[in-house]
Amino acid sequence: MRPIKFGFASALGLMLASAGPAFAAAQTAASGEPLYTVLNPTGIAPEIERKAMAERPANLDGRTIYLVDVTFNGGDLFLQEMQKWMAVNMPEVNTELRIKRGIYSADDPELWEEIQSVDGMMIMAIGH
Amino acid sequence: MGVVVDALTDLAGDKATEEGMPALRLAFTHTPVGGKTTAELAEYIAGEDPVTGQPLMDEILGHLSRPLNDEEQVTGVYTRPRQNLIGPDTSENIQKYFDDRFWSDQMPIVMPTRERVDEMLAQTSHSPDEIVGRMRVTGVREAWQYTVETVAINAVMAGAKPEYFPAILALAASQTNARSSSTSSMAGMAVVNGPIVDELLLNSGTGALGPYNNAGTLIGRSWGLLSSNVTGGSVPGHTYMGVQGNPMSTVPAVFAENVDGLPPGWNPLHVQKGFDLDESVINTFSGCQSQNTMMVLRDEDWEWVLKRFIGGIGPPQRSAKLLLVDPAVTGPFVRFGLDTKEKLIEWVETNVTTPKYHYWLDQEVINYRLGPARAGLEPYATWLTLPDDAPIPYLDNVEVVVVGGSGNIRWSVNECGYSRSVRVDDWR
Repeated sequence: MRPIKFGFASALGLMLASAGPAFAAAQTAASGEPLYTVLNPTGIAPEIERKAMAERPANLDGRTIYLVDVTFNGGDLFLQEMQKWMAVNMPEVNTELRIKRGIYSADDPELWEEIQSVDGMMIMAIGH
Repeated sequence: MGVVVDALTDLAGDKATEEGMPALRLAFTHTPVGGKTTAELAEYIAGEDPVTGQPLMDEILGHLSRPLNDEEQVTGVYTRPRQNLIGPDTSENIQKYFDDRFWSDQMPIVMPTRERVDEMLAQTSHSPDEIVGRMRVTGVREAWQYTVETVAINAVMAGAKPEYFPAILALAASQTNARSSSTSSMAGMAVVNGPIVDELLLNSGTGALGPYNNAGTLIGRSWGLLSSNVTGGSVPGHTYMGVQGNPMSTVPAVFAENVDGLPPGWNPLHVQKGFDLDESVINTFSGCQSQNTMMVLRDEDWEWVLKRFIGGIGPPQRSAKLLLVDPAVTGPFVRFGLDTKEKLIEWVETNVTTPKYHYWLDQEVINYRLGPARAGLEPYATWLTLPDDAPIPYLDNVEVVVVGGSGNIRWSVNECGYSRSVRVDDWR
């Protein structure tokens, strides 16, 4: 099965967008089959506040990249291998391997502050 | 930027959008990462992003240094449009429209017309636009709100009788998701106590957990549908991630406790939760994943058997168990001195253990407990310091419900964890 994407618009959906007020009870299709107007069963989505991405440096020379593990399904081993790759292939870049505090979804303001204090960058990885 | 396994491609994009960063730069590696050797992971890193086909590290470094485009600098608040009415169209086309969006459970639904929804709404004094609660597909996803009318729409779709509606509203008010998006394929379960049981003819005897009870099945189906829909839909890859799925999540079990089968000293579940005996209450459970059945315990080795049986279900990160005890097997528990549910619960939470060495090697424990333990959260921080053979009593959410028709001396245990109890009469 192929999952659908949000924002999916079928021919029916396009038709509905211009259907206007509906009075289903007395309506029938050309075939005589009854037509229904039904209510949307979904809930109310919260508003989303968009955030701008962090500015990027022109190049990475001399910068420190924090490789942040969230303690989930082997992400630590993955980042250790990434650090080795960077040491060989990007010796001009510094790397710091860190474990984020708490469960994978928990905030870690102290770590974010440390990264900002050195004008660092971050790659966070979650294993699965 | 984030590096994510490719099995979570859609989910990662959804989550970034929910957090206000739809343009978040992501790179993907192969699934799984867990369980791979360092040599295999090194190959992943030296290889390509399986989603884009680009060399993974080139892509990552580009994400870190490429200037931002206009889309990546957008700020402000936006809302998602919602179309209230669908149709007019044939029932076949509307069914397909709902199936395609995973608004149905892929079984035929009753068309939720204005008239049918109004008939459902007539069963409650609450306003159709009253907010009933907030629900998420998992604990880390966004919370959606839902109204009394939204619950009624889903109840109509399930084919529920209007008289079931206050019980369905109570389930909705529990804010317990019966169709969680967890990759571990969780389901919900609900136990009903009080006069509502006889009013709706809910089953507490043979086959109580299903099938063949009209009220239990249709209230359960309503709960499943609303759990999916009030959170915005339950779309595989996006908002449903159960790796193997779970038949219990198709129609969640809703049944009554067999209060006539309670031995002296064992109180009904709702009384344990602080309600009066004559109040109608729905008690919800979540995290239900597997259920196993055994026969009556024997005097000679009941302690060994009970520890093995309960300890054998699920990994030790899951601290919940629901003991579903048939009236036919309560006698031995009482004889063993467990003459209240509370004593049985205390016995289980004290005596079902796993050695510290194996506890901290369990992948779920690593995922969910190691981080908090390192951060000093108790009791996990202390458990990290114990000798390898020290017993870890990892259960702390054990409940006991008496249910069944006593056709044999059998009972069972499920991984369900207690969530919340809601008074039904508050939703009439």
